[in-house]
Amino acid sequence: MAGIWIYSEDTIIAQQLITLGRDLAGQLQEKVCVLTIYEQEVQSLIAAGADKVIVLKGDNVWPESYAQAIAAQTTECQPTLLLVGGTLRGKDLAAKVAARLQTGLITDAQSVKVVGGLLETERMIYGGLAVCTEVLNGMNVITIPARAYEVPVADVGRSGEVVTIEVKTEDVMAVGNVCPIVRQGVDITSAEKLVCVGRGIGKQEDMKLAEDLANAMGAEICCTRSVAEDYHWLPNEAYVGISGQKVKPVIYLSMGVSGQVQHVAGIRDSKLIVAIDTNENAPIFAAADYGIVGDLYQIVPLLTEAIKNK
Amino acid sequence: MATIIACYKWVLDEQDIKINPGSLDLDTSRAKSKISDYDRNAIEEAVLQEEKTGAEVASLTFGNSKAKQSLKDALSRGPAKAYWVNDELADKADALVTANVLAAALKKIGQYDVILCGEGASDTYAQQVGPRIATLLGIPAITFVSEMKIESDKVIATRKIGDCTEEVSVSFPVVVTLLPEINKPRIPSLKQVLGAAKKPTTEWSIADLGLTTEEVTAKNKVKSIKGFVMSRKNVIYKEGTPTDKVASLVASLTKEGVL
Amino acid sequence: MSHFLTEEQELMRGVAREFAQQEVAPIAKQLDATHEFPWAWVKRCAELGFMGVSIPEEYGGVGAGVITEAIVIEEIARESGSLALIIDAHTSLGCMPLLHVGTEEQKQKYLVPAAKGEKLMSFGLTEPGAGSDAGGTKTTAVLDGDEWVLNGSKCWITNIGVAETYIITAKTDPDKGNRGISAFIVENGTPGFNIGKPEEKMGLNNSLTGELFFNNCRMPKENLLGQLNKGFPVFLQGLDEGRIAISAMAVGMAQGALDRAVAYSKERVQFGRPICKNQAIAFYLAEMATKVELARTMLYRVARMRDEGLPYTYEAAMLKLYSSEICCEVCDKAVQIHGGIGYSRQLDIERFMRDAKLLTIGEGTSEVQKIVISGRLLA
Repeated sequence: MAGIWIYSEDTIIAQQLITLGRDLAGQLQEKVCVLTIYEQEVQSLIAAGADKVIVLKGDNVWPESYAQAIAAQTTECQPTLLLVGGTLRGKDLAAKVAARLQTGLITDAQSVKVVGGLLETERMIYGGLAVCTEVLNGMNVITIPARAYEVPVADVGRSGEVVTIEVKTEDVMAVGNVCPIVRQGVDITSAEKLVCVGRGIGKQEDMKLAEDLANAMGAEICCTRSVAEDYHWLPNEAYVGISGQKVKPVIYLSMGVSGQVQHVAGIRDSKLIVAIDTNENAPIFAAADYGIVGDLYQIVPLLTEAIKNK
Repeated sequence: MATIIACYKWVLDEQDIKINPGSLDLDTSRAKSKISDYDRNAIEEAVLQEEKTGAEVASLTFGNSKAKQSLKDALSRGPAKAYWVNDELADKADALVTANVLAAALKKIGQYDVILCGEGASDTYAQQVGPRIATLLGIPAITFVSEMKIESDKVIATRKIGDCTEEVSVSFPVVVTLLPEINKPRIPSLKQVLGAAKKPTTEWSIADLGLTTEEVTAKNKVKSIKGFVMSRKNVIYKEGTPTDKVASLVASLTKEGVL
Repeated sequence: MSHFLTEEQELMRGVAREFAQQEVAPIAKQLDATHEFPWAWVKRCAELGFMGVSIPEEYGGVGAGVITEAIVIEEIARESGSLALIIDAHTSLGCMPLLHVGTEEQKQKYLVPAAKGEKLMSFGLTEPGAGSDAGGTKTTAVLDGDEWVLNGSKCWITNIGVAETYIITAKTDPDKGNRGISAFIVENGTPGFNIGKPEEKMGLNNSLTGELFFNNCRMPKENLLGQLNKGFPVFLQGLDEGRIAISAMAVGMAQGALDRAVAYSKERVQFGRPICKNQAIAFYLAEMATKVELARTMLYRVARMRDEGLPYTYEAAMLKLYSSEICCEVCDKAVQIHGGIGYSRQLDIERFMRDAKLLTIGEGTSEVQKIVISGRLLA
């Protein structure tokens, strides 16, 4: 009964995980405890639903240096579960904690459920081809992707327990020269509407078709891996797929995208998937809610007009 | 002269895997095996570093008897020797077991300055084994590296972690996990393939590594593996003129409230 | 096929396939349209060891045997018939005679750089008046002091202009028919040796084929290859070896055409379903696949006989006859399965059909193969 623990070096993600944490805590009659390395975030975490917040105070600003400290806390308190925000930093730390504790670690769980009193997770394997369902045994660490859950509505009057612990950080590595990656373009992972371009677009000049449609729809533009990595018509941050961005727009509309498993893995969470392609048998149509089989060079301009005229 | 060990996993090629339409079970009977994609980058990086600094490179893998084919494949790409922990337990291993086994093998090898891993395997993509190994060996891990160099007894690496890059440097020994953008693995020449047979390989079983049963038992139970099927509406407009089809689509999307 | 191939042979197939898929396939169509000689590909092939697969290591090659050479040529032919032919002409026709009957000096001077792919080789046998009737060679070579003087011409020679070294057959004893022919090594740039313009052909556009002219071309007497008047058996042996390579090319091209036809038949929908659901199409594909597999089986068998030092002339003729004929059939059917777009240059498949046609003609026409086969049968 030692709690559903949550950690992320990103406080917003930690708050998102509280949504899942509260759900599981309810089912398992546990409390939600959030670990943070930022003292100033305590109130916002409690307002988001943490019953307890443990502040780990160390000298190092580098989040990864807290792995040992978190492992030590976890060993001491024996929580039922540790949810870690699935940023790359989070995955790094989660693996180190799991190794120290010799526990299982589920990466990028798509769902965490209580089934017959036991925790069950689902995640994608084989590049998105299959789903693996696992029944967890003993304490486990689970990383959850960012934005998989919503940030709870803040309950500002809420109170909770706060514990501050001085910890030693791992200071062996010299970390410096931290540079933000300048995004060449929009963050498609937070876009509400997306138009996706695939290899069915023959020439870079034809991207205009997609741009016109996107403008008419109020959408951002993204693409498949080859359009970014092979043709370089869009930056790498614009491609959607298992090894690229995962998107969750309200509407995703593709043109000339065949719909390979690796790409579809990145669009699964879209509310509505729409596809335009000449090949009736293209896998994208099996993954789509709506679609048109046709020549995108004819269909897309007509669609753009129709939307503008609404 | 540094010792670099590149770890790789021998995996099924996901392109060859079929899904049974009824049961959604996976049919892997026609699947060939390959060195996991990002691990190829790890082997290539080890060899590139050897070419720059004169390091000694070995490959290391944990796999069942079928992984024997992987040894010449790995050796043809440049390492001077190959280590293989050959055990049927590999079939049921999760990242915890794999990391325990590889860490024990590395301890048995004895000398390791830089351990290179892909950032994740192409089958499970759990992205854990590298940092797990580091923790088990009590050494640092630099993960998600897009560029690295070795300077005398230090690794200086650039990590690409989401919205920023950072430069990390630390002395040997260290585990580094690599992003695929770090290099483009070269195609081995025929001579390199033939030369692989002449390079030494060392084979161990789990019994040779002195691990407890608990250390080689996967923690969680796999309940099922099913082909992923999206159940979507699948309303596809095929008939009629382009104008007709567009009109139908626009009507549907308006009804859905997205236009 | 892999139950008797070694691990190394499978890995080497992997190397050739990776190269063909990553570096040849993406630009094969565009290169075919320019008719240019693919120097970049040839350079890469040299780096990977493809230009001397079956030449022993001591002479600059990889020393991997003829089965491996067949595997490499097959994988390359799946994407570019031209590149496969360049390698075939260079290794089987050009290098092999040097390997078999060259002196040590000749091997060091000519074979080693060729096996490494640093210099290309060409083999000049055919003449305007001596095609199938190869014994009808009219090019003459006369010893004048310390030099051989060559006069005559050759045609339909592959790798003209890009090769540095040419193996040329010439009559050295006009009274002795077949037994009066010798082989010579002629270097590019030798005065009196002129190279014609490349022929505009139906296909295999990146491989250069054309005429050679010898006008009192003088070569040092060291350039006699093998024994005087014993050239005919040398080139017959070369042709046998060439038959394995060109059959590998045929198997590869047929496989490439078959793969494309299978993929297209699954994608193309007519009458509400993919065309492969029609038994007519499915049966075509079954027949095509059977032919390719049988050709490949015979290819490996003959290559093995050669590697084991067994006589294989009869089987090589059967192999060349069968594999070249089925390649044409498979490529033709593949275009048919593609329908209208199969005829268009938008896709690669029409190139396969154009490229395939040479196979029943070059390196001994199908008719010549039948002469060899029936000759043995009826002896």
